Amino acid sequence: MNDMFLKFSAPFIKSTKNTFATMMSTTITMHSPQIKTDNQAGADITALIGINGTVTANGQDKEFRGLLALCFSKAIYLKLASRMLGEDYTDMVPDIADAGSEVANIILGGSKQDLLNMGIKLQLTSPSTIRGTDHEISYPKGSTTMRTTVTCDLGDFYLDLCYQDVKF
Amino acid sequence: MQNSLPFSFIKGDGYVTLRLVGSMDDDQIKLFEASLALQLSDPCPHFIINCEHLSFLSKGWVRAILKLKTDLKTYNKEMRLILMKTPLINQLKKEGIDSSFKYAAGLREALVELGLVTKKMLDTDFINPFLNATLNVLKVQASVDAKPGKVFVKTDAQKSIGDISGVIGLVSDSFSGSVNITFPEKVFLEIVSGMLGETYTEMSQDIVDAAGEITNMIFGQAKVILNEKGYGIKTAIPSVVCGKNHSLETLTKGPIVVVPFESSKGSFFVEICLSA
Repeated sequence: MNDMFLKFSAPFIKSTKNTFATMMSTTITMHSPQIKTDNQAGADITALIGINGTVTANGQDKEFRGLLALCFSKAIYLKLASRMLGEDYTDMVPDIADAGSEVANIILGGSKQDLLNMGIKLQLTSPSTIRGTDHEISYPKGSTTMRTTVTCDLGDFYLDLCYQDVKF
Repeated sequence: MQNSLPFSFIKGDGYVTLRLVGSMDDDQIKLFEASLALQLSDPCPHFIINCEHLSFLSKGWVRAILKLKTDLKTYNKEMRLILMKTPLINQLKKEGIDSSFKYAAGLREALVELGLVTKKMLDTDFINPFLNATLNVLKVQASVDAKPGKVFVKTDAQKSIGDISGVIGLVSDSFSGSVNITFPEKVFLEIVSGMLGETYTEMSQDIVDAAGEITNMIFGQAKVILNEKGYGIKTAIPSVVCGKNHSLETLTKGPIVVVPFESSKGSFFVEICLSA
């Protein structure tokens, strides 16, 4: 895996840790990231946010595109939402439909400053939540998706980062 | 023919977008003024000058555009420069002529300033390119005739359920949003069968790839049309979602507009949302 790729992902990882610590009062452990080669989301609920950004390097602005996805099984989604909102949810109800995209939004918002220090400006699209038992997500050809398994006291979920046209 | 020129005119409702592209030769100014004369007849439109792909204006061109401003004044119309890049702004400042031009961030802002639209985000001007691109791509790629139904605003209680969806996020300097296109499996399999000339009865990698292609083409075509008008949209990475009866929800402060489509293969829908 390319070094730059890892360096670029660091702010997202850091922000994910902060977000879960503040929102869910839980400490998360990140497993080493893998390049994703199949379409299995391995999830029932996925929160998805598109990223459009510019990298300023050597006085030039270069554009890149990306995507951040948080993939949850229904069980952990319910637990996380319960913890986050301080209620006990045992089923998917409208109240918690947006919880996942809120978390994704906070993660990306929290990584903005660190990225800015690296010369990277981000613009975020509206977050979407996909719900469907064991759905699949495929990213376009030419993009690279890095999947990190995240463990916390409530269970495991995945953080996918997908990039395209990142050239430094 | 128009494409080889560094300028093009795109008609809008009460305005014309003048798109200036790339390196602009002084030789072409005469031609520009001649084409411009055709646009400046009664009733004269407002002019929006799309500078998205422009980093330098020669003296001759600056003069030509200033002349346009004066000409418009005689008709009581105005012009706005939109999507200005920093180098161009700096150049105009250096030459001390920046105050002669009025800037706006994007098409939407310019139209609001000119009083042509009220400040709402989602209107037919924005939705129609997606609608037309969908019809066009399905017609050309899969020989499927589709017909758009009545557009409606999605309420919280309404769920968008489907089996295969293309999702893409949009951003510009002034708004963000996303567009989804969702098909039931049966409908999509028939569309792909028509497109690839083989009969598909179940989901496979080929189908997912085809979904990626189709949604990419639709989003791509719509983006070109919107950006020619001057919306200045950038798209995020498109993704394809598969899963029996999945639902898609978008977290947005703005409205979500649903365009239902009927086709010979069945019905499907497109959802568009935008917020400032």
